[in-house]
Amino acid sequence: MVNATSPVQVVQLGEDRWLEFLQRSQRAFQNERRMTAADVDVRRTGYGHQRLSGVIDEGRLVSTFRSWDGDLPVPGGSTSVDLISSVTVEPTHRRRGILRTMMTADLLRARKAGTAVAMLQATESPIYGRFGFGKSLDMVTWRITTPTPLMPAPPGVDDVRVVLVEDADLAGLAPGIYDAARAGQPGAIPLTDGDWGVLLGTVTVPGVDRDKLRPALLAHSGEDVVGYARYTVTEATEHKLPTSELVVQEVAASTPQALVALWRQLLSMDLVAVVTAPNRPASDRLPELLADRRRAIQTDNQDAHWLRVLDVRAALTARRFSAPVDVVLDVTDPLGLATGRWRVLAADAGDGTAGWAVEVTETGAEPDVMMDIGPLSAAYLGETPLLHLQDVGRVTEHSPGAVRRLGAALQWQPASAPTLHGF
Amino acid sequence: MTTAAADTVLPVTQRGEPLTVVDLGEDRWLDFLRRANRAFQSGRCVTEADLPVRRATFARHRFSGVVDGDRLVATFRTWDAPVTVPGGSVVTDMISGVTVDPARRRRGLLTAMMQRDLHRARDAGTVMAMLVASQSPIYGRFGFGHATGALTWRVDLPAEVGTALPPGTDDVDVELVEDADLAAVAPAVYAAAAAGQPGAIAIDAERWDTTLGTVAVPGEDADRLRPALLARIGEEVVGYARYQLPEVWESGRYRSELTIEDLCASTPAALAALWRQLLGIDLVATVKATRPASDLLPELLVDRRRAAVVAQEDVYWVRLLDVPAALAARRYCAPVDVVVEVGDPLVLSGGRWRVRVDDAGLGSGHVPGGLPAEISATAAAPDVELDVATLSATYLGETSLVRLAAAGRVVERTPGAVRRFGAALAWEPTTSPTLHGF
Repeated sequence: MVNATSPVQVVQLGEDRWLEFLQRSQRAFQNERRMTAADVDVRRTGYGHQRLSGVIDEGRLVSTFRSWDGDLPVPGGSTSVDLISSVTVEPTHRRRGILRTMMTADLLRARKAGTAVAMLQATESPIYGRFGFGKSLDMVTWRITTPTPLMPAPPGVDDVRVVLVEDADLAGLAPGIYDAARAGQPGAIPLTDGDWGVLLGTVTVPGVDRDKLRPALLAHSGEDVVGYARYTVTEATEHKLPTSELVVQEVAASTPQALVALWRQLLSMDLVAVVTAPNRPASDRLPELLADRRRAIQTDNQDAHWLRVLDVRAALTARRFSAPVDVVLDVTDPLGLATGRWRVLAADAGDGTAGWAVEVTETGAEPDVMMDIGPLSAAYLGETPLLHLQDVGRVTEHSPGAVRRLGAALQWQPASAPTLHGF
Repeated sequence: MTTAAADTVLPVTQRGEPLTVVDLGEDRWLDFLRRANRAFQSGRCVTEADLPVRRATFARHRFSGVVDGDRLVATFRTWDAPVTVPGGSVVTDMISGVTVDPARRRRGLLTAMMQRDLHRARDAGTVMAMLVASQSPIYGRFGFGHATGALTWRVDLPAEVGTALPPGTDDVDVELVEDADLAAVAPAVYAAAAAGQPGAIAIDAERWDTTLGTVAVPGEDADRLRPALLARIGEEVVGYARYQLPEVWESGRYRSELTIEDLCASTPAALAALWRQLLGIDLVATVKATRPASDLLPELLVDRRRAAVVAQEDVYWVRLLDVPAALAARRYCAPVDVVVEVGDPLVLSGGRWRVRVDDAGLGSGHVPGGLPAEISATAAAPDVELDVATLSATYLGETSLVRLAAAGRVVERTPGAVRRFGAALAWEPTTSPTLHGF
């Protein structure tokens, strides 16, 4: 039996353990539905490409851990990511180092495989900082009472044609649009064909009501499909006045004009009294589209994605900076994966693009800036200000102004704003 | 008070009489205050007793309005004061008390008052104007852009502070005082903190008196306790907090909510020490505070989710009156070389300028206060076109130019120019004093 003193052994889990893996992890996340073989079938393609691991105690799976490889949009580029999910420990086996063992094993594996960063969503905020993860992206939920006056349509928006369709009609189209949109939003995860089948309802998912309408919008510009939105409406009336709520499940567009056109349509639906949009990136431009920006109320604001840099040079050179910089950066990694000292130089890419190209070389020179891997990870996607992390003592400055310079270089405004997907 | 500008003739008349915007003297202050407060739906009667606490301040302000017969039907008040901008500060035309009688709406009174004041300010050499809007859609048409916002946090206690704290936090002594004890020290701490937060306004001596309750203010309950905290390092005062804590006792339990009215610190360590104390007062169930977006609160908590954003709001709206002077008055975080065409619907400060921020010696160019810009008039083809409201929104470094471009408010003529210019304009505040209304 695993107790406080016995060494924990993490094992890779084969197909024969998938159902048990799903049952244990869903129970730990307090899902009330019983997981059956049908639930495994929906995930079969995904699991086939993923790494499932855990700890077995007297034949019983007492912890779960799942990770897989993908590409991750980063400022001005993309890099390789180790996506981590289904991290659970049985309530009866807490505080025995099981999580630490599983996490360090996977991060070490990913580092050796040449993966630049790892990323996850946290069930609870205090858990992953100790492993070098930093809060990288926020997401917000908007609530807008409608009808609401809109700003005049910006140039090009009236050329976008929006049509009413249903989720299934998006099948061949949404993945391409989403990929174009996510390229402009650092941290937006890749989705597989299996994910799309579930999202668009083209495969049967246990527990999902097949009779429920799945309304969607599709945006065209000439012959091109440039955006889509998926939503649900719950019909309601009071005193014969419509009080229906429209929930924007997802909106994504490959051009700014298409995103504006979709928003304008979503905010102009007859018989709708409230539009709610969860999981929107902090860069959302929604308030700017309203004649009265105060009508967009943030009802929720939460940390969405936590990122962990595994390979400083690979990660930094994969992205562009917002400003030129030349600093010596000293990084300490409590897990020993990314410790080192580098000269980080960002200069004009010379290709007419806006970002500055990054060169990273090992150096023994005196550092201008020192930090743990956590703050670097938090600032990496360009949203979390490095200056805040300096203020709370997590970044040390040895050359005056170096943190402001490096912070300005790391900061990055997303070019698009697709709804963020969980994983 | 400035010399009266030529009175603006309004395009509308009441009973056949032409209405004009006129400057108002001291004899109209009481009337002004009554009309303005009624329009803002204040439920209190304004009397002579309301004037003495305002007299010294009002004497420095410009009052104007529209008089119909004997009756004041529109009000407008402005004054000059410094406002923090990235890496500096600029004297700003502060605008407040803007009201139009509900019975005189839609007749151009606001437009006439606003145009008259903005032209006066521009002609006097003022480079920007700023206001807090009672409603969000009003001022965009006059070239104002939303520049600085605030978040309201609600923290359910207990909320542990501490995985990462600024160096020196434990050297900060925090003591329980009351508002009046802050009188001698708060102004200097506020001024130091205000210097690091673009948009932060100046607070004059009279306002400190009314804020801290050291003078009697009609309608204020003089018996109400005014709890405060003072933070020191040795002898030096480095921060203060003012709060309200009405006791709530339910089912044998304390459920009190502490509302932070003002939280201000000159260093991150002082801010962290004050937050730690505010989140660690016995018998308190929740803490609420409206804070600038730059507040460090979530980074100070062991569990950042204990701090929930329950509201977000626009606070300061900025209007550039002299674009080249304004751009030259602030500092930048990134080099840029861009030709910007600025449209101005009020024809105050439109034009085309080359904005050049030189990265003098990249290797040694760690400029703590940011990089200066050279602004020159040019006839070269523009890289970026935008209207003055959009540029004004981004001027304090908080509102993202890239985001406004995505909303269709910027025309990019040279690929990448918006991102470059936006990166130069962006600015992280180094402090986060509570943003005060005016």
